[in-house]
Amino acid sequence: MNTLERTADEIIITDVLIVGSEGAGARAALEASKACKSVVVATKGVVGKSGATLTADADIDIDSRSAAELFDLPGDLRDSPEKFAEDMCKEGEYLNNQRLVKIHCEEAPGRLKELVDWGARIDKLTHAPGHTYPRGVWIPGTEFARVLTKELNKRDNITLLEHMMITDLLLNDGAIAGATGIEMTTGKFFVIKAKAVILCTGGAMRIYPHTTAPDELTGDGLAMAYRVGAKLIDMEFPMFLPYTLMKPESLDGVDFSYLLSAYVETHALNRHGERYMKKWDPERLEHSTRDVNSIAAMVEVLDGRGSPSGGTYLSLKHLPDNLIDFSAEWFPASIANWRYGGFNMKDYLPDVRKDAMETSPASHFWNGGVKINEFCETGILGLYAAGEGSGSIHGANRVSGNALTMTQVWGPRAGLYASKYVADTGNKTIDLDQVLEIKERLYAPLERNKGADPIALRKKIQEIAWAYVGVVREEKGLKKGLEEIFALRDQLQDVYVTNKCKRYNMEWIEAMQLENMLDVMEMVARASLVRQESRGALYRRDFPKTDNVNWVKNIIVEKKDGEISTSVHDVELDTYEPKKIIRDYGCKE
Amino acid sequence: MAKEMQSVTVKVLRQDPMVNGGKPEYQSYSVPLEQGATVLSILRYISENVDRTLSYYRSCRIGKCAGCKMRVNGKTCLACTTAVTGDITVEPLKGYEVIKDLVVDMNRRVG
Ligand SMILES: Cc1cc2nc3c(=O)[nH]c(=O)nc-3n(C[C@H](O)[C@H](O)[C@H](O)COP(=O)(O)OP(=O)(O)OC[C@H]3O[C@@H](n4cnc5c(N)ncnc54)[C@H](O)[C@@H]3O)c2cc1C
Repeated sequence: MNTLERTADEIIITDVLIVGSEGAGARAALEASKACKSVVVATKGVVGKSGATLTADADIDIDSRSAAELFDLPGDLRDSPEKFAEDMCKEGEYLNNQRLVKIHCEEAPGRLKELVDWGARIDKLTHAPGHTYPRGVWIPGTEFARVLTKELNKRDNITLLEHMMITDLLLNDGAIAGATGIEMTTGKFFVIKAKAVILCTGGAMRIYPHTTAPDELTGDGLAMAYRVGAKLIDMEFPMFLPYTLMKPESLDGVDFSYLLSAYVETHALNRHGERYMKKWDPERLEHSTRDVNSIAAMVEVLDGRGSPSGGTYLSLKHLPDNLIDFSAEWFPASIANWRYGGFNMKDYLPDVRKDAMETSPASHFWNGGVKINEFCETGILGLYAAGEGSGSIHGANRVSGNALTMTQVWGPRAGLYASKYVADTGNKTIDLDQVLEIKERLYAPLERNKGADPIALRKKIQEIAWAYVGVVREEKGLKKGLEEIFALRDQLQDVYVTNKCKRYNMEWIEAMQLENMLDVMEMVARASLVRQESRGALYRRDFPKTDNVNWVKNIIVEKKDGEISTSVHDVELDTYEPKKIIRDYGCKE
Repeated sequence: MAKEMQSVTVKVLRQDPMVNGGKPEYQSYSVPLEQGATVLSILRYISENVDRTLSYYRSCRIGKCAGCKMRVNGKTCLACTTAVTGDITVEPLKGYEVIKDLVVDMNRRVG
């Protein structure tokens, strides 16, 4: 007879399971560990060596006055959390949940203070676009990883499960009972019984072929939440960063060239040598917003004026050689002397005095996500979400530096409210049938000996995402994209892997990610199709205006009768309101 | 004029603790050398196109997470930021327990 003990290779019992170990996940765990007996943190990678947090360049936002008062930085005393909240709503094009935005801005300074008290080294204060005052406190992402990993290791009641891909959430009578996972190093099937689960799995940037983000961010948390009936919000707003490298292929998505464009006058050119930004933003040109730069480049590509690799050119050739040489000396430390991350960029770039770089927008950030309220609740009892994988905070777009703030404010809040919930909840029984079904699905690719190739399928998914659900969208393309998604779902049924070894089988991991990628792509496509206007990070070529008369609305996606359904909801504009006009995209009235 | 793509020999020290008594063995692959190739892009080429049983860890690809630390031609380096111009020998990071091939348990030092 089948029992849970026989079905699972290992069973773990805990108060709270946190999926994701970085900015949001680590903070959630640290907070939950104060009140819970046991906290388990599962990560698909290695703690402090996975996720987007450590890649941040990196500014974290708090209001300028607090920066001055708490950290002795040259902040502007005229600023306040209210002013910060107002800027967030303006940049989010008023789709943000304003109650949550206020909490975000009020709690940010205190949460940063905790991080600094744990030993995080902060540096200068920067003034990024979209902020009325300088709010970006400088901490490299690697510093977040270092400090948070150190703190996690200090807590006796936190267990870290590395290389653990959480695959599905388990419900009992509509409430969370736990989750299943595959330990990638052994291929073992884990059942984790948890009274509460907090999703801190980050974004789904990897559904696109070009991205600045790490490989493992395939939207697993978004898809898992969707599959158990949670609501997702603002999914039509994946954000793109312009001018990232396309060549060499090994550095695809690296944002060195984007950073260059911020510090020296670069020329973005199409294949005719035209500076196409003149059509979009004649004054600021390449210094226009990230969205407008990305969209402009993509329109050139779509209209047949792109570069051989399907991007546009970014040129420095108009600058004198000695100016180019000197710039490398005064660039900020993160890109000075043609060094970036661990790269000597001279090994990889063309001679920029002579040749242009081929660049493309790349998927950079996920504005939407699992809809949460002020307690990080998702509407599924016992399921919480925080960080980049959660939605409601940023609305249609985020300001620079505010993603890290999101992890530091909402991670702890999720930990706090989840621990309050588990205090008077018992561990629920696991429904064996659910577990059996999941296990069968996960191991099927290992058992099949023919069928669809997961790597070819992943590439196909990315290709379709880029072509139809990418930087520039329109009805015809979105519909075509949905047809393609539909066809791919069929192939998903018979994915098989050639490598039959269960231990660290990368082909199998790819296979397990496919459904998540497809679910997320379909959510983006469906929500984008509903929104008949352009706003924030979404550009609909067939509806190029921002319509504040009809579209100050959130689109919610959720599973109904086994399918992705959408609904449109008014935003509660309790404090900040846009002008009720229809205007050109990209100009903020 | 089509240029013949140069290829390089990549020798990888492979090991599965559960197979063959965990005996490490070198395996050689011939890989086309793309312009701007890195050790990571080469490993990716092998694991996607030549040998799907090869295992390695990577995350950020930009030299920040340090998860792809390994030995290349006897020197410890990050696979993602190390340029490849000729033949290479790739081995797991020294001093850590091998999980499989180039994946090591970064929390478990040995020897
Ligand atoms: C190149 C780059 C630069 C950036 N710079 C900045 C900046 O300067 N300022 C700023 O504010 N923001 C910046 N951002 C955005 C910011 O870094 C992220 O939004 C933020 O760090 C996300 O944190 P998180 O904890 O929500 O998710 P992540 O840090 O992405 O962590 C996700 C975690 O979930 C785990 N995971 C995923 N799926 C699973 C699964 N199925 N099972 C188990 N674990 C899973 C991963 O292993 C990882 O541990 C940048 C992003 C990038 C890519």
